Formats: sequence, structure tokens, C-alpha cells
Amino acid sequence: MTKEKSCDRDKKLFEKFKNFGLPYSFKKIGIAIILLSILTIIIAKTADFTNPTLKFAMKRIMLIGLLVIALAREKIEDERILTMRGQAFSMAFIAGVVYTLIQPLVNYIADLFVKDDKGPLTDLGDFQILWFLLTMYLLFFYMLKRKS
Amino acid sequence: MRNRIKIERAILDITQDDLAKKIGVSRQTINSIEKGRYVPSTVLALKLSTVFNKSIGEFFFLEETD
Repeated sequence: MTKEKSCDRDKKLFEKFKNFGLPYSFKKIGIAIILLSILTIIIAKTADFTNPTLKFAMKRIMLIGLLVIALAREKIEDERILTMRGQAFSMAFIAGVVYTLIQPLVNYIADLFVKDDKGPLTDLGDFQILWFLLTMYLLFFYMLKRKS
Repeated sequence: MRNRIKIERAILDITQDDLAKKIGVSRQTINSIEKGRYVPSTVLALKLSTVFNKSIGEFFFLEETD
């Protein structure tokens, strides 16, 4: 394969990835997935059914729901919306990094005051970080959309 | 950046929705451009130029702060 052909293929792949998005109707599907996972967790808790596997699965399903909403296109996905998506992504990324760096410290300091036995400094779990990133992205995106 | 899109639209007697449909964007995008909250890309500016049948410089103006 020549260098030009390889570059063209990479360019096409990048364009495909750049324009990737789910149809608008997927927004409702995403909301339904999140509600279903929350309801399942609540029902399991009220029924005193504490299964770690179920909790783990529901958390992952909730993340999938958030991702589906984030990837769902608007009714008219024009350049203004794409610009706002970019802004929301960068803001969420910065917020996510700051949160990941600061939150363990905040937890540690809070433990010092609340609990007698202070635990070690622990990192945040993958669910907490991903949930925060996706939530922040959606929050910033809809905030920007409402403002403009 | 200032613009006179609202005036050009009035000359053609078309609504924000009509203009949005002509250039393939949402009505909110036209509203944001008219209010100066969003600066369109060159492609969108050229599409507006085609609709208004005028050069871009006739309806977009740079300000001192730009």
C-alpha cells in the first residue's frame, strides 16, 4: 500500500469517527436505560437484596445510558452544536481531572473530622470518574445550548 | 463581529426558520448568529452569501476588539 493510499484511508476513518453519532431517538433510550438501572438498584435495596454483581452490572448499565445520551445527535446537528460539543468535552475533561485529583484529598480530610480511624488516601473508582465525566459533559452541553 | 443578517433577511422577506432551512442549520443557530453570540464558519458564511447574493464583507463586519 502506498503512503498516499494509507493516508487517505486514515483520513476517511478519522472523518467517519468525527461524524459518528446515534440518531436523536436514542436520547430517550438512554434516559430509559438510566431510569431502569436506578429503579433496579432502589428495588433491590428496599427488598434487602444486596447482590454485588447486580450492583456492579446496574452501575455499568447506567454508564451505558449516559454514553448513549452523550452520543445521540440533536434534531438538527449543525456546526454550532458541534462547537458546543467540543467546548463541553474540554470543560468536562478539565473538571474530571480536577475532581480526580482533589476528591480523594477531600474524602481524607472529611474522614479526619467525621471518623476516629482515618483511612488511607484512596483513588476514585472507575465508575465514579466515568460517571462524573459523562454527567459533567451533559451538564455543560445543555448549559451551553440553553445559553446560546 | 457585527452583522446585518437580520436586515438582509428582512430585505428578502424570509423568517429565521426559512433561512435556516435554506442553509441547513437550526433556527436557533440563525438566531445566535444574528445576536452575535455565534460566529459562523467560512462554509456557513459562504452559504449565507449565496442566499443573500452578496459578498460576505457586505453583511459581516469586524469590530476593533476582533
